[in-house]
Amino acid sequence: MEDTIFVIDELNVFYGEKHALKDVTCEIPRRKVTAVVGPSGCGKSTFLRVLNRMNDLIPTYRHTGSIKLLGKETLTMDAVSLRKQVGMVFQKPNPFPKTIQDNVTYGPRIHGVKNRQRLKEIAERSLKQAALWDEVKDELKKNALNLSGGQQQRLCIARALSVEPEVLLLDEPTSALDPIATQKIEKLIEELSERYTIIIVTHNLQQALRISDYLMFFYVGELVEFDTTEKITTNPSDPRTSDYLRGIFS
Amino acid sequence: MKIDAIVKITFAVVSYTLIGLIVALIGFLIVNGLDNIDLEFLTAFPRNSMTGGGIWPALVGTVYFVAVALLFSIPVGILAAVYLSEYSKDTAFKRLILTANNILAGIPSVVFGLFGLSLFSITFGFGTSVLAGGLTLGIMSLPYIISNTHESLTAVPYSYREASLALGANRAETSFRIVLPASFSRILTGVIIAIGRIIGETAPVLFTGAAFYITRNPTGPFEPAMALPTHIFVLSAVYPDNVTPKLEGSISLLLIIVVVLFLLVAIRRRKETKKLEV
Amino acid sequence: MRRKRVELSAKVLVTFAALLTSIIVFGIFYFLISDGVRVFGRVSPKDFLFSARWYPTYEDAEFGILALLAGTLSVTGLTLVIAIPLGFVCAIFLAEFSGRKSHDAIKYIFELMAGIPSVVLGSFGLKYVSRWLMEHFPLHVWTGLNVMNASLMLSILAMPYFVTLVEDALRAVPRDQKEASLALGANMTGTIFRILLPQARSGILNAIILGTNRVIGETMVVLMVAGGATMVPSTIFDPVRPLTSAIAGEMGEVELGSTHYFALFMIGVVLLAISTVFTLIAMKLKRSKGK
Ligand SMILES: Nc1ncnc2c1ncn2[C@@H]1O[C@H](COP(=O)(O)OP(=O)(O)OP(=O)(O)O)[C@@H](O)[C@H]1O
Ligand SMILES: [Mg+2]
Repeated sequence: MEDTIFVIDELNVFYGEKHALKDVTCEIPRRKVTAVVGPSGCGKSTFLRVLNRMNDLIPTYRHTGSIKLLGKETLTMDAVSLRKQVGMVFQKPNPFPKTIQDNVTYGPRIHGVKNRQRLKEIAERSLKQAALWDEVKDELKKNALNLSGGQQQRLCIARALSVEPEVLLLDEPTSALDPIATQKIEKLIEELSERYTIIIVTHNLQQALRISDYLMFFYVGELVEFDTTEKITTNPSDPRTSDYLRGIFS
Repeated sequence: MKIDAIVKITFAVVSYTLIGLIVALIGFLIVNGLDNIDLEFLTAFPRNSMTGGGIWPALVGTVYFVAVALLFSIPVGILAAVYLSEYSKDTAFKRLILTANNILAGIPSVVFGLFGLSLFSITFGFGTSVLAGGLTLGIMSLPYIISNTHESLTAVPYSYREASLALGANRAETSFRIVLPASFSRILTGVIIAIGRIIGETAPVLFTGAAFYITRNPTGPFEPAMALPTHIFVLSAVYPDNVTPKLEGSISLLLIIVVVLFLLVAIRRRKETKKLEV
Repeated sequence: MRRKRVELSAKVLVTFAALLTSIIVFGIFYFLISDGVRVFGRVSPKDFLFSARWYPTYEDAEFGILALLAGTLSVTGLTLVIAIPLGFVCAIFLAEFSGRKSHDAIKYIFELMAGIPSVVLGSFGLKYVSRWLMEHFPLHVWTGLNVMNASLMLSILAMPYFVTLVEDALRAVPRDQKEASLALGANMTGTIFRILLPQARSGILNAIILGTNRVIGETMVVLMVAGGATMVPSTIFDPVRPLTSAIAGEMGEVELGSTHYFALFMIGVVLLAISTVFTLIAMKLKRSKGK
């Protein structure tokens, strides 16, 4: 059981009348990189946002089924403690308009860490994990909005790591970045997968192949195929997957 | 094409003439009284039936009234705006509050004066006092603060809230530690506008807090105070012409304060639009 | 858990603050009406509204507000006649003809204009405009404090309202409407009057309603320069006593709890009713436009 982080059973998601995810059943392996791919509008973001209940805020949103995180049902648990365990990084870098330090200590603070020394340590640890420490260690008091786009995105990763989550959800984290910044983040994801479970939505198939251990392919709300990246790329079992891999949709 | 040129020129001439007249009017009123503003004018009590001395108690009183007003309207206004932008859903309750706020913004200032008199001065027993007048002004400025703060909060990108919630923050933490600080500068601009509006208000304090004439400054919130606008009213309407220098000085000073406040707002707004364009 | 408690108290606090605005509005209605209706112990509602005889301090006091209402209407009417056309011209100039730099500067002047304390305008009207009116219209004018003087001063306060709101209404018209018209070979003037203004209709109506509400409620200017005579004016150079000035001018001297005191509160109720109706109409217009 320690090899599986999420057990998802018959998950259905609706926005009003729109049936956005249909009967998704799967098990997501722990401390691996799982890439979520599929044509635009197929429900990738929706799937990701169900995992930490970010969609709860949308008035028309409804779900049925079950998602267990390490054996505990998430769909009924307190969203706040779920989100502490399941962190998220968004498509566009969105650091708070505060100092770099405040960005990475905000999370620990709201979860009750008050000791300054301790906060400093957390800041250093998470910035190091996000491979940003060397670039910013002398300007922790600088406004985070002054960083470059790639640095901002790594800061957002550091911010998500600051509360020591179990899972990191990334929704197209490099689509707003240039190739060099993208490379850095990809390298970072590989490193992080030793300690964290990473689920990443990406539109870039090459990226998915480079960094992921597992691949989930969604098509119009259906989970069509889910297997090791290697298996899917060499021998897809569904024709829709092979069409997608050949670049027919995206 | 020709008619366009004629219309454009006519409209420009009308607009610039009007603008010119207004600038001339404000400039005239400021310059006209400038000679009468000196250190004594700013720091002395009025003397000889207000023909001599200065307006010190009116300045002090104005600061008191505005301070009491803001002490009420800033916290209440900001909290109400946080409710509107961060907590409320599109329900009848929200519409009720928005309607109430609009009605409040449209009520004539003299009606606020009656309300303040009836509630604060008589029912609460505050009498004619800094507290009664200040609270009346506070209620009057409340809708400005609410609307402006509401607007500032809605302008905060949704992604900040998302990032905070994704870290496991609850709504209160997100609202008060992320969204409010992010809109601080705009909220402050709104507060300055509110000060500009209430600093010149006369009618509401006329019968809730203003004294025509006092010989020592109020020592507590339950005493009446003079105020710059009511002082101008008294000097121009009640006293004869031999107070004219004091009147001109007071008008000049009040206008200078208002011009500076609005200039401050204009500068801050420009900075904000610049920031957005970068 | 402490964190939960803080969250809950925050929610209660903000909800209460929001509710407080409604409580205040109800409170204003309650306090004004409860004092105001007591005037009807002495005066019938019919006499109060339809008699033009306002003699509150006479031995045999009379409390008819018709003349005061006429004062408010005449001053408001003339102000609108002055301020609306000028406001339109400036708004159109700002929205369609001005460059960006001059636009910002003009906008600032208009904001400043709306910010001039009304007591300052009252004082200016009292000292300067009244004399100017006496000198230039000597045939009609027997006092420099009259409807005309008050309306001129009020126009200064009301115009920025019209300018800002009408400009917003014009700018809210989708740009492609204007471009489509211009592309058909229409000139700018025709486009403004045939396309932009009609489309901005409800926004403009809104501006007029809100601006009018502001003018009706203005107090210090009319208290100081409208002349204060309780009469139904027959020319624009007659002195009048609008509703707001009656309250502000007489509240200082009345005895608490007298009929006169209650009558002034009843005038407050009338003003409150007018402003509430105007606000609700404006909101309704805005909502129907939003749909
Ligand atoms: N808030 C919402 N309300 C209604 N429908 C929504 C909402 N969010 C998403 N949808 C719909 O749900 C479906 C899945 O959307 P989702 O954002 O998950 O797709 P996606 O795979 O992430 O697409 P993309 O690759 O473009 O990001 C889409 O058809 C979308 O229109
Ligand atoms: Mg998406």
